[in-house]
Amino acid sequence: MVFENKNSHWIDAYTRKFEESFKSINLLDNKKEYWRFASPLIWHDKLPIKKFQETRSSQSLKFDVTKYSFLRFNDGILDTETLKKFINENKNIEICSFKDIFLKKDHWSSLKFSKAQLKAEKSYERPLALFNGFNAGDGVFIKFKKGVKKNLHIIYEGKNEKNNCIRNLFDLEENSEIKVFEHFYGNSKYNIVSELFAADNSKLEHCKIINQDISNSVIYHFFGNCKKNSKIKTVNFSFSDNPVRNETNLYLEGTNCETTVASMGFGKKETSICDNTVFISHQEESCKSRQIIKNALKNGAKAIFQGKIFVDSKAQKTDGYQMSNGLILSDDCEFLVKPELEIYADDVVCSHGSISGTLNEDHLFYLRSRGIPLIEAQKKLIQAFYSEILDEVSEDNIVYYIQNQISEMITL
Amino acid sequence: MFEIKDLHVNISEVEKKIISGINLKINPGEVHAIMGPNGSGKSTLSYTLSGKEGYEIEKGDIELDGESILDDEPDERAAKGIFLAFQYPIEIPGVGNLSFIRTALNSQRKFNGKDELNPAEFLKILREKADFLNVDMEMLKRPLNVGFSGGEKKRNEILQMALLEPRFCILDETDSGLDVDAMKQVSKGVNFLRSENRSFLIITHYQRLLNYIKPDFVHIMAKGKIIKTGGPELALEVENQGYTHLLN
Ligand SMILES: Nc1ncnc2c1ncn2[C@@H]1O[C@H](COP(=O)(O)OP(=O)(O)O)[C@@H](O)[C@H]1O
Ligand SMILES: [Mg+2]
Repeated sequence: MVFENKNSHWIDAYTRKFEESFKSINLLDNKKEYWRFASPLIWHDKLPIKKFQETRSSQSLKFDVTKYSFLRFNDGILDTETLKKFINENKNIEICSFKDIFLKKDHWSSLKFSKAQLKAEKSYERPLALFNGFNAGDGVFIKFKKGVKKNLHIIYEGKNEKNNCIRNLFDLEENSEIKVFEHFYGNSKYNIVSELFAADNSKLEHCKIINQDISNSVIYHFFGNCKKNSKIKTVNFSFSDNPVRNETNLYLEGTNCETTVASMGFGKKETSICDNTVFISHQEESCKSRQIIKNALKNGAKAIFQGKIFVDSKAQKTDGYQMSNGLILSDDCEFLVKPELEIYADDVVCSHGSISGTLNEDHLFYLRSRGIPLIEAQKKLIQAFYSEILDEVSEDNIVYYIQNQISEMITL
Repeated sequence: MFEIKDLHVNISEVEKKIISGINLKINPGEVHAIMGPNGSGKSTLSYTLSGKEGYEIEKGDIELDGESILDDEPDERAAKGIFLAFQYPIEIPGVGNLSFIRTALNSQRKFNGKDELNPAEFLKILREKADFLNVDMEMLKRPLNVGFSGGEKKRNEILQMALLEPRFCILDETDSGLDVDAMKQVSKGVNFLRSENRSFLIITHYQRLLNYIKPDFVHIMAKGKIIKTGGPELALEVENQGYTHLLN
């Protein structure tokens, strides 16, 4: 441990550690398997960040305010008004901005902070998550107490020209049932780390939408530790014309966990890269994990899926599933896939597959033979391609919102 | 009036000539049956009429009311009133049956300068037709044809036909794979739709369907040509004697 002095905060020790680790990594080393298809520099370049420009405003996502609590980040900083309102409305939830943790000598999060990230670092080093570790300017730390049910909607917006590093921590106590929807729009660049601690029997539905008007890159690390009987679902939607990397790392540390990682990306420009890098580690018996990844690509867009299922020798009766699909709408697009299974237990069912192709001509003809014009028929089939991902979302207004976004993007 | 003039069709993929000179005139209100052995080009003809890609027209024309439709896309032909009930209706996972049929109907209405139907108006009409054809509404909430039995798929085709109210209906072996009850259902739908300004081209391999749907004309097709034309008695002749004596 680092020596104490009266000005030093418990987080400082972590910060220093992250910085040291980060500096020991050569980001130009392109031999790393983990960055085989896309260099970290894509999300960490020294290139000037694109200046703010007013883009056509996307239709906003409306939630029933009686069912949802809101938090808003503006240029990477948690808006204090929404935070105050949240505190007033939710007595059984502990919440604190990351910035304010530095003002507190003790905080419940000191027992959890970085634990999920550091566990994941053992299997691969994640330089940009390390970078976040000593650059995060704000974030939100939330403890959902035992049995709490809560729906939360977090908005990230802004127009600054900085790399916004944000750090969140979600602590779900036993039997809590939480939905978190994160929505990105505006022109900022993001490097986000969210840690999740899911206690026994807790349930999380996490859904993230990256709008098409995001004019800079986003890298989002989601590190989760899942205990007995927890059910964790994370669903990602990306419509960005810029690089997006979703890194999802879930450690299933209790028996009977169920996890789903579902992602869809719609790339319509050469500059668009949708990268899903997923690592699911089965540490205990009888856990289920599913990964469903779908990317539709046109005009030179690129998508990447690196998905690994690791099964420890203790993790008998693991049920692991992984499927990725690419819908290639023009010849100049690429969907690069690297599935991996690493299994040390013998009583295990794990399957994986990847299929890419164009729109099915017979399907198109069938729809058109009923009078549906080509573009509408394409729209229907692209929506059908994504339907499996949309089926994972429990909120109808999100489903409609996504369907509209898809529909808008096809006509573009 | 629907007219096929000296039609010659190649399948582009294999550069093979399948249709070699077909002439057929179908007046409003008429029901024509085409019978013929497997592989004689009946499905190829139906695909060509509805504008499927990959069917190269080497020679000839297809006209609706004296105007060629060769340059029309499949969806334009459909909106002009041409409907094909597929021999093998396909399953399309992820596309909801109801939203598909509504989009189809509204696309055609839009093409023809009519107001689109709102969901309530649509459902009302759909329910009526589904009831009449004994199609389960619950089934229609599923993705398009996914998990439907053979008979259900065929009935779904007839339901779409009843909703879209085309002027020229092509039924490609709608009877194949149906038991007698299902065939009666389908025939009931077709007979109900028969009217003086709607015409039918019924492709079938067996005569039995024609016991339920009485044709005005029966054509025998072989090797991409119509080799004989007659009335309903021609279908009975085929039923009793087979095709071989006609082929020589
Ligand atoms: N896509 C295709 N590629 C190659 N040959 C085809 C194709 N479709 C049909 N054919 C051939 O064309 C002929 C006519 O087929 P089809 O029109 O399906 O006959 P029918 O419906 O009368 O049984 C057959 O010899 C069949 O093998
Ligand atoms: Mg056929």
